[in-house]
Amino acid sequence: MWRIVSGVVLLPNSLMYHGAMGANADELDGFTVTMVGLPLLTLGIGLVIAAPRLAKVLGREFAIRNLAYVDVEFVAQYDRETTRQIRRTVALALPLLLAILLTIDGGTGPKMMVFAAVAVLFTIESGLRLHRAGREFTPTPGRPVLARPRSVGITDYLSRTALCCYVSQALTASLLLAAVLSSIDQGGTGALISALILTLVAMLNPLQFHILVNRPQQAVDAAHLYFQDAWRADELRTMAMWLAIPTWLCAEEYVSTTDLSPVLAGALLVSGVVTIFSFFWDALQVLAGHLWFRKRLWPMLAPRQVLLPGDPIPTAGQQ
Amino acid sequence: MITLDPASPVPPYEQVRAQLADQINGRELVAGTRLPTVRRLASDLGLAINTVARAYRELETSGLVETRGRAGTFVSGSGVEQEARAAAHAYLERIRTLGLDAVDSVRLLQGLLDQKAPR
Repeated sequence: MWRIVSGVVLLPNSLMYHGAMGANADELDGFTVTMVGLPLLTLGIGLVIAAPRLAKVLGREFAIRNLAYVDVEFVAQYDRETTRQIRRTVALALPLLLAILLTIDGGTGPKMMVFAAVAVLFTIESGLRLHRAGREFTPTPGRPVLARPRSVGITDYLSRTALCCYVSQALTASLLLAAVLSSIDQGGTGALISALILTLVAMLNPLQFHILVNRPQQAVDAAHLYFQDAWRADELRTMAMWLAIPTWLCAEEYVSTTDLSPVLAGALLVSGVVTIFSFFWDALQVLAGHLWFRKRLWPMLAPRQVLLPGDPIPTAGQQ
Repeated sequence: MITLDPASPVPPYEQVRAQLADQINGRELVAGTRLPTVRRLASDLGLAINTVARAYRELETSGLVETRGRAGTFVSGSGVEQEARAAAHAYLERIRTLGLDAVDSVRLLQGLLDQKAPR
């Protein structure tokens, strides 16, 4: 869900930015920037204030979309985590969106650095969330606990499309670095630093995934474990968003403003398009109800079945 | 799933061992399935690492799982072996229901094998 919300904020801004690129630079005066920046600022402040209420709405949406039951015991914790995430996201996104607007007239280097900064800040934000991973919804001690008898991996939570997004994002970052190095005199230091940052962030992804997937999951019953699986799958997909969009924007910016060899430019554009396409395709699949983690970790559940607290886990023969 | 009941008189390691053994014998966990690491399962169930390690050790002693160093612990055997084990398990259950003891059941089995052995 966060991908949709953030896409609503980020993508129109990038389109606006690209539209502004075509405009005469003289027309982008302080008044124009203020007229665009003020609503953004108002929106950001509004989101921070309304975060608790928005968290409840998002919580209901999460439960419906993932066919998960969030027990009353964990609703407060869920709302608290979601509120925290909303406020952190706004606090990180808003200054960067304003920076994007303010660097419209700038060179390729500054623009790319702003996009790369998005990836860095949200990687840091993901890292802060990892710090609490596995402890968000712990049960009270002394109650029966449930555990999965087999080990899980990243492929149990992320679909092939989502994994393709990550792989193509890493490829795009690497190609961008190669392109910048091959035309270092054109892009300058800013482009080089941005490409290095995006490549490093892409290399950090597998480590973050490994940490998140291997964090413990204490659950009192099947419904609780299922809810935690849904939460974890959502976290992993959210990480993809903050890397896919800045990477694509950087690649597009560099290709459109630099004289590269056709092969390198083509590879960079194709890779960037695959990144964005797989990101949105995965989002659409999730919205359409194709839950990868449910298929991999809960194949014994009937279609549209919602596990309630205390429900036994059906075996394959009971479906 | 493995369920741990803190109020049960059965020791935790035995609860874990028995449930894993049942799932392996019942083919809910097929040969080659990787079990959670000792540390992970202990964290998930809120147990000490040594408790889970003991359960894994006893499963390994009974031949149900095998440890492959740093790769982890896996359900042992090929598909054929696991199916044979499941059949043997079902046979033993049936024998117990009929009230026969272990000696009689082995003698019965040996007699059948001798009849079917190629001459």
